[in-house]
Amino acid sequence: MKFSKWQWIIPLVIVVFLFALPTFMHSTRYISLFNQLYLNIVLAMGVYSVWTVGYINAAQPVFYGLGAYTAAILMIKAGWSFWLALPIAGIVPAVIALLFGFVGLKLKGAYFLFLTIALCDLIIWIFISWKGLFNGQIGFYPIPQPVLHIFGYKVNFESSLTPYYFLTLILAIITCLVYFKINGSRLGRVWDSVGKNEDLLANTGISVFTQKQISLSLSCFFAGLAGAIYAPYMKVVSPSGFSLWQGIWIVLGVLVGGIFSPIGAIIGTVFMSILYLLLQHYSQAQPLILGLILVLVLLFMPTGLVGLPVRIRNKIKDITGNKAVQTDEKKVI
Amino acid sequence: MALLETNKLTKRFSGLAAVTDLDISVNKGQILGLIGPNGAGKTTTFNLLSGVLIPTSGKVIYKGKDVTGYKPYVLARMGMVRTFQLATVFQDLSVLDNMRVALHYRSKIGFLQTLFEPPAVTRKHETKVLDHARKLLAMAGLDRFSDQKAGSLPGGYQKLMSIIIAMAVEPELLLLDEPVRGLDAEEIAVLIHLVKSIRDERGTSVIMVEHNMKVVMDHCEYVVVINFGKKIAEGTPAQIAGDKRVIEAYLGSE
Repeated sequence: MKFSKWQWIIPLVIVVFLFALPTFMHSTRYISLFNQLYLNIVLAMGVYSVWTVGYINAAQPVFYGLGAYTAAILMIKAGWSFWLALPIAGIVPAVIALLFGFVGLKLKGAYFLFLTIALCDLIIWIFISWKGLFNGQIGFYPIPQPVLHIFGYKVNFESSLTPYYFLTLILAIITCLVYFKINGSRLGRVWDSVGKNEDLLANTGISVFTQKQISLSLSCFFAGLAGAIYAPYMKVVSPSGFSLWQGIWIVLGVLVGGIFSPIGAIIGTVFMSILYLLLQHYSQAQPLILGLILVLVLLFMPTGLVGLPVRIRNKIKDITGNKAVQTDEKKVI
Repeated sequence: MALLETNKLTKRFSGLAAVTDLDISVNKGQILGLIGPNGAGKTTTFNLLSGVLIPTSGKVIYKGKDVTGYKPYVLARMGMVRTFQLATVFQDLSVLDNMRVALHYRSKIGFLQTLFEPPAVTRKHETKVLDHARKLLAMAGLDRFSDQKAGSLPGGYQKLMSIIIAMAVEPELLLLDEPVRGLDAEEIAVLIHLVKSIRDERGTSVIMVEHNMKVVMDHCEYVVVINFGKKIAEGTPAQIAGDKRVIEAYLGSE
């Protein structure tokens, strides 16, 4: 491709712009919207990646919750610093996902989805009932704030949202980099095939089950990291913060964006965030409208927002009669 | 010693005996044909050998080791690789990407390396894999289609590709499930030439399930005939062609 050398320019401009955003956007309302968006993008990237290996995970919010609880418990009960708790908050959900995978990933697609729905309620129920560890309905409040010194200055996590803006943005960027790297690598092609042609893949010596386990655990690792940031950011971790409903928003976002590219997960999440703002005050209408979107996307946009330009171009070509050039492959053997 | 041996291999599906007391043995570098009328249990036998099904009783012995019940990917790593009748290639990937996926295991680049390797090293590895991929494709004359979607190739090419994909795993035993089904005479000649050149160059053994009698009689060195899950005859093609039980199985007795 002609422009491939310059392809990194556009993402770089976007990233620089996002880093500069808080200097001229002071409204805490907008900052908090962006923080939530970045955390959701981290969850959505994971859901997208597991989707490529053939599974829809609606339980992503509870892995996020497990990360938040892990961080809260380590910081409050064990007195750890946030920076020490952060990696553990990623590893705990990843290990739980690994154990869950031993059962769940043996199932076929739709059954896995049902199981994640059950898992979602199960874990939230554990949060509520295991009072000794998770503190029941009340959860944890207040969560200690991270302490960070940069060049001798103390970063003000206590009374400003901006440090969290950078923290969530950096996590979102790292997550995206990891998933784009995988997607662009040979491993990405392998994962694409996991969902579609397992028998043939196994016959090339690849353990399909292991690949699925890696994909699920990695997605839950990032979800846990996002949860660990969420905990001090919200200052409270309680069972009501995590629900299946959130998971459905994320899954739908990935679908709307397009399940054929990691960019779709980002675009879809942005779309759903805007939609969420619009529907904020009409919570009763939300299920109706989400259902409508699901039907419309499946009917008219199976390739999602990302695939839309190509589909429109093809439609226009159909109408104007410009047939796509078809290579007439001659059989030679 | 035989490369692969089965010992009283038996598979019952809830009482229905699909394969009974089957003994097969393949030597290194041999091309063995497995034939029989429809429903004789050929595909079941294949699935038992390649680990897709677990036998009810009996053993599969590969390179002197009891591999009964091993998973397909483990067997593939040990060098026993099969092809499929229908799912021959990764339809949605380009021809070259098909080979990259097929070479993934042998390249020994795992998940962590994919993430943490510096790009320069990745590029070096990738160039190696691509070179290997192109070499394999060239063996089947498929290198000129590198950038095409594998699913859009004509059926004959897809069958050739399925063999090349198997070759990427560096098999010692190749199990071909109806490799020439649906191909015309010219395509069959190309495919058989490929299989034979693989065997001659690398000493790979081949077991093929095939309905095409001409292919079996002309190119297999040893033939096993099964009917109703039991071996009814075995020998060289010439011996088989004259065997009364075989003729009976195919044409019925008087």
